[in-house]
Amino acid sequence: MTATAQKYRALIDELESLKVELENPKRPGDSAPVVSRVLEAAGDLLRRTTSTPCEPKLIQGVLSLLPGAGLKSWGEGVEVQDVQQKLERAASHAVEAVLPEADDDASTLVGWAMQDLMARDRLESALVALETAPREDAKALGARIRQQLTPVDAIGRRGVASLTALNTERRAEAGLLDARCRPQAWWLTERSGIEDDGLVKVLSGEAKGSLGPAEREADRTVRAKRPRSASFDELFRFDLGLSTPAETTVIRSQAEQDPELKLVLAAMAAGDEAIDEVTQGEPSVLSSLSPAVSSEPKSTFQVVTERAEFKVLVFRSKAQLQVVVQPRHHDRFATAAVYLAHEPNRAVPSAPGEHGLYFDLGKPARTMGSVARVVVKLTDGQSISTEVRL
Amino acid sequence: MLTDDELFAEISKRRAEKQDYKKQLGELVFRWRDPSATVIRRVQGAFVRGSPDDIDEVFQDAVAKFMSRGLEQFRGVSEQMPGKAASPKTFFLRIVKHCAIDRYRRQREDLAEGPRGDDDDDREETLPEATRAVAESRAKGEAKEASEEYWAAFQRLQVEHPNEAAAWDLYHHQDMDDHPRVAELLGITVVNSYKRVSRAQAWLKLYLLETRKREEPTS
Repeated sequence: MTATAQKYRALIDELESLKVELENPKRPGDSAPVVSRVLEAAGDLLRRTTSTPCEPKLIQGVLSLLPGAGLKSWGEGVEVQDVQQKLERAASHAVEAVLPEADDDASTLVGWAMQDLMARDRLESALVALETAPREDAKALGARIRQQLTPVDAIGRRGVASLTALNTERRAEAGLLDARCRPQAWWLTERSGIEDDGLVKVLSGEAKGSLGPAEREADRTVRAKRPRSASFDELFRFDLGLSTPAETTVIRSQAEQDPELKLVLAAMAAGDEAIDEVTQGEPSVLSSLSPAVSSEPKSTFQVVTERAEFKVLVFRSKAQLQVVVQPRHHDRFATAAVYLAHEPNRAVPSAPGEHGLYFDLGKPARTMGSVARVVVKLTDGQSISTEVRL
Repeated sequence: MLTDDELFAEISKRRAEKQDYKKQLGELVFRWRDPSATVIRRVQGAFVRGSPDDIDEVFQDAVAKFMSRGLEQFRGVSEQMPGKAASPKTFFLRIVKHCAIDRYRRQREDLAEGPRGDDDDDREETLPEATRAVAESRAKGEAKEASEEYWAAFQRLQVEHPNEAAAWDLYHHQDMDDHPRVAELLGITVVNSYKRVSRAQAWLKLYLLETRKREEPTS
């Protein structure tokens, strides 16, 4: 007997002990957890009468003992949206299980996916138990939840192709169900045939195999060459210097081939010049923010120079004074150097950092009152010199 | 009168306390209206497009973007990366600049797509010509539909599996077709690049299957 079959066989003992518990209630408080266990165990057995035979009298007897208040409380706690989320997560984990980032993760991901998938199965068992229970309140509750589940099932079924990645496990579970219950249990039975076992791998391009017409059409659509130009948000992040290295490379290489993007970058530069003009003479440092924003700054900073091609910032903390040259347009920025007044021919060592090129000037007390010269070289050979009072 | 920074601090405070801040925001951006117009005009000049009538619309678009996302973005940038956001005014003017760029960029794309061919409606066509025209029109319609479905699926991938979307974007949309290069740009191993691209492909196709199932008539 498989472990899965043994799991259901053990439910008979559990149901007997739950019957004893309901006949002699000792636990105070809400009985919804006990009701939940009874409904799921009874329903699991009602749907597997061939693989896990159980005395119908036992099941009917336990269901008739369910307390009305506990049943109501259990019904109020059923969230069909949770089931939907679990079905979506199962589909996602199923795909990852067949194409894992690390091979060792595969079995864990299958376990997680099946756990989520079986949440729908357990709810089905509870509904079958409610529909079988010899009482009207249970039947009415079952009908209400089943109605709520109709759209959830419709959405889940559309994504069933992802679940083919779990076909071995789904077939093992489906095989234990009574034949009459299998069509309803779409999460275990739909597209669970051997012919679909490799579907996800074939769709991923990692394996070769035949595809149906719908899959072939999806394959064609996805593989068709489609260039994507930079979006508003990507250009905005690029402009702020917040792009990832990948985004920056993409925008730069696109601009080399795409005259439209080249025009956009030129418009960005023209806009920058206009911004520089209309903000000239104004403090470009944010002097105050909301309390939520300004709480405990790590260090104070000052924007000393802001041009279309770069910004020069000074970060001050008690322990350290740093000049940072931040490129705004990487394609126009070549390099930068900082010289202190007492060593005019020796450049301060630099290191790239989060905000740009960092020049560490040491403790503020050391250089206080002196002047540093920042020289920025642009890609067109132009050098721009700025003085920073420390 | 409050300075720009003080007014902005008041807006941020009200926003954090979930109080209405529209009046203060209106006053603040009104102060930046003229500089915004200068920026818009300069972008118009770069694109050699646009008219004075556009200025209001671009400005309104920028205000809407500043309200919906810009305030939060500015807060995030100021907090996490001091120095990148500069002043609220400069940040707002950058939004203005990008709204103007977006507008004229779209206009150029629309123009590049060309006319829809309605001018030919009155011309008499032979039967084979008409049949061919119908077939071409249908093929164009289907291709457009497939393209829209594809980009919707890609957007979903970006939300649900951003790592795979980034790898697929470089590999497929940016025409790299080169895993070592993708791996280098994303700071991952070549093996992981293969895997991410494979998963992205699978998910995109599965999303399309899902979408098309939704559109199937129920029997």
